[in-house]
Amino acid sequence: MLDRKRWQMPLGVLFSTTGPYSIIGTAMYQGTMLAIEEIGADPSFDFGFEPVVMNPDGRLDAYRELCEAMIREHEVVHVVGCYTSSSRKELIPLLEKRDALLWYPSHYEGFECSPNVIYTGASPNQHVVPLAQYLVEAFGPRIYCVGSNYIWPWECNRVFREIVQKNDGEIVHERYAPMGDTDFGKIIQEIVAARPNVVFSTLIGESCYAFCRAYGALREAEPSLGLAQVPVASCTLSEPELVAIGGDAALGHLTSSVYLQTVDTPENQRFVASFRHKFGPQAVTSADAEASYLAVHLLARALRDAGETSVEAVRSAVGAVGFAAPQGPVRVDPTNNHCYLTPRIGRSVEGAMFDVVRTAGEPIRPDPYLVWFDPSQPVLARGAALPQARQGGQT
Amino acid sequence: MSRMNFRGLHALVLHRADRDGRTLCEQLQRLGLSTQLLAPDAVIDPAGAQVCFFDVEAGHDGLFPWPRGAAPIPIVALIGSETRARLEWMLSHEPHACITKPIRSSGVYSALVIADHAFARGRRLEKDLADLNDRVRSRRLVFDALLRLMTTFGVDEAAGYRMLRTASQQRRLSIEQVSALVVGGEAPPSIDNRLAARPPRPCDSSSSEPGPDRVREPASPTIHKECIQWLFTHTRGTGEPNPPSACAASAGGGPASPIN
Repeated sequence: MLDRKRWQMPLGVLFSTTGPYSIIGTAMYQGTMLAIEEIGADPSFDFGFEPVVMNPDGRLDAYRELCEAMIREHEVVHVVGCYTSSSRKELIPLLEKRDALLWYPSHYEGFECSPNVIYTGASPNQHVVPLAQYLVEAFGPRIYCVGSNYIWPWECNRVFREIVQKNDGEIVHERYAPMGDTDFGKIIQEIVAARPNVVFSTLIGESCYAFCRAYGALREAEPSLGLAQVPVASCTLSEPELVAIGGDAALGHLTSSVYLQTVDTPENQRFVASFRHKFGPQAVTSADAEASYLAVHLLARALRDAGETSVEAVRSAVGAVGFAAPQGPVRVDPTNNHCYLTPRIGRSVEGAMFDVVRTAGEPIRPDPYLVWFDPSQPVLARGAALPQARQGGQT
Repeated sequence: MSRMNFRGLHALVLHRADRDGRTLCEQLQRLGLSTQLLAPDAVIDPAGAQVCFFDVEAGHDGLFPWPRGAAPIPIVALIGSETRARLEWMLSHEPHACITKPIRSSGVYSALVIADHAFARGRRLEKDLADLNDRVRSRRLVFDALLRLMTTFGVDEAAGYRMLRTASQQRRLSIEQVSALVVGGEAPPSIDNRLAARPPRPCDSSSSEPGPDRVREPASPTIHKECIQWLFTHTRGTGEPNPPSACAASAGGGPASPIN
């Protein structure tokens, strides 16, 4: 098959594989490249992808510049890329002006729906809401919130507050650290004094790793403080980050994620095996790698059905294609360009893995604006099928 | 806390069925609203709708069935040409928010949140203004009531006002309503009933027990006095000092009110 001359479509690959969030950027890059390889080897496609790889190095102003170069110099129409919301928002005016499509493979805080973005990561109802509900139910209503000081933690904590208050619970403190801060002595002292049931962390990158290390060290040094009964929960913590935290400090944390490496599906077994084959036996998969991987697979299927590369044709076609992803069946909701995904809660164990402790019964419809959000309806208990939006008038 | 979820609301969109009109309707549907796209010359019925978006460029004076600035629901201006004439026309209708065209998916949610907030604030201010106007108008009434209390009970202005205030708290009526009762001598049915049910007091022996029917008759001097007596002699043991007994005050005329 490989000797057959296929048409190669240029595909932009725009991840920060160096810089402050390089661990996630690398996972996304790897998931993308694995999928590109798979499409290239799959006889059911008569085209392949020619990756146009650029690395913004985590610098916000580099994203737009590099994406523009991809479009102008390499005739790129489709780009897989971005981790932070700020980088995505940086690209949207350009994408809309040049009519390009961004395949955005990260969970995020929602409240956006650009026609030039396909969102393959979790919407807030698929990870923030189920985690808050689970924590209150399984650990108790007193939650200590610590996060990096930017938009994602603010919005996550707002959702948490709403859910916790509906359950007669309490956010005991809500603390924010500057981005990149690694000194958490005072915050950890405050946690010890406040005795919450659980710590909800929206710290990202190095701040997250430093916090987990400091928390783990105190947990081990002073067992009488009872920190072993107060887990750290987040919507971001992933397998490669457990590697980065290292040692016992990486154990016992909770994460809310639509994908965990331990998900037991034949598709995931293949995914993990291929990933290790390509990137080495120590490589771990993650939600970010999987969302990037499934983005390329959805794009390939939409392109095959559309028969052309234009944004409009692909966007029209993508709503009708499905993909048996490692996490389970995934499809795009054509009313909002976000994906039906399967929420899960994991608990970190030895070997940089999460045990799956809770799973939704079926893929959950994306609700990026939390329109259908009902704090009293648990997402994980029943795999909720959301009511269809009313359609009216002459639209 | 302002409303942030608009699920289940109905939006009127007065715009051509072009790209802007369709983009707006699609985004509103994502936000959980139902939509009705109406041509700018359609007859508008705001009943059943909770928000209205209107195209400023196609707008005309007969567009809305309500007087200028008196929209019964939040209205959001969709601005095309930013010429002064069009903006003046738009402002004359006091929109609660605006969106500049071309319409994109971003910005619609913020406009809804702002319009809803501004509309609610406008309603609140209108009500406050009406209440203040009522108060200004009723100052004369309060003054009349105060004068009457001062002459009836022989108390000074401060004590008279305290009597009005105490009665207002105890009867759960506004100062103005108490004043109206004092001046007009007419009691609402709820007071009539209490009046009928009250136990006889020594000072009642001079007149027959006033029943509700009698009280609703045009205020005779006797009944008028009964009302004033009722207002200021029935207390509920709230811990507040009792107002002076009407009997004692009218008989003795002394200033020895316990609330002084």
